[in-house]
Amino acid sequence: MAAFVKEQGIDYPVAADVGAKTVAAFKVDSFPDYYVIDRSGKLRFADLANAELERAITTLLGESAPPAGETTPWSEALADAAKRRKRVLASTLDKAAQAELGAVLKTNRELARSLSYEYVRYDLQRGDEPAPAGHPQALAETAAALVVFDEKGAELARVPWADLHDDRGLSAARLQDFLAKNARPHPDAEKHFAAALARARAEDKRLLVHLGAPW
Amino acid sequence: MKDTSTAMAKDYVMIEIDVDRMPQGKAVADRLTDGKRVGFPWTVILDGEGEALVTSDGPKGNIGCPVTDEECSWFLEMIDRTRQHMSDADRTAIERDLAAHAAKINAARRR
Repeated sequence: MAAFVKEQGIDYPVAADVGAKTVAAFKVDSFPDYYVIDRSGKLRFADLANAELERAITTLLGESAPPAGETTPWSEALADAAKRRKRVLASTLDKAAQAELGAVLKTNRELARSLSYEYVRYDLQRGDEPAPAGHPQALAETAAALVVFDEKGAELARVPWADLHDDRGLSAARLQDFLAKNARPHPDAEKHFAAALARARAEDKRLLVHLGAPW
Repeated sequence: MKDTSTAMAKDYVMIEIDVDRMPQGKAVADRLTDGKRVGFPWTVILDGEGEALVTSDGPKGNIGCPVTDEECSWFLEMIDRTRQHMSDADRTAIERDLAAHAAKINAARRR
């Protein structure tokens, strides 16, 4: 592979997926397949069609890089939530619980979708890695739980990890219920549109409508 | 981009419709796109009666977030076709901001 990379003049990092572990983890269903990760390391686009790749890259390149030395993982999570009209879902889980959560998300696409569309994840404990800095002290003192914050860092809800379990283990239904109940409310599009159009008419302006999506 | 925001506010009420998360988002999107499948972001400018005046579908398709010269040109075309109150200086400020944004993205691409 090294010879091919050299021959083609490829100057970006290239890695081999030994044992097809990445293919399995990302659920790759065709080749080529595209997964785009932003500068903070978050997976932002998955299973992209070829025609959408350029636009995905352009979108991410257009986002401002955080000023060096002025942000923490916590402040970045809040800023991300504000920008994308999401909430922050903080978890204070050990490695085994994280794996349990990951397994449930992997087998329940609807749940994984709700989580990624409505929340910015902030994992307080990441296995053996040091805890990220800057979050509220109360969060650091929380036993295993999921805690929802708004984009300003105000705690809105929390659920002990044990309460998300039934006799069969982590309950996708309970998790979905918690996420749905605490997601940021979104205005009704018809009413939002009608109010904006009325305002445009009253102010002798045009109405510019931008259609977007959470991904 | 403050100049652009100020200039745009003179002529446009601007809203975002989240097709997936807003209740009725898809219905509004389908109405505005005539049910046509579009890539996101996609933009339409309407008059006060709700009639579409121009969309982000340029000569080569949806410009999305404008970056290339052609995309920026079409965005300015959208402005030129619909502006009523902004001055030529406002329009120039928008053009300048668009170019600066495109340059920033192209520089990041080269890194």
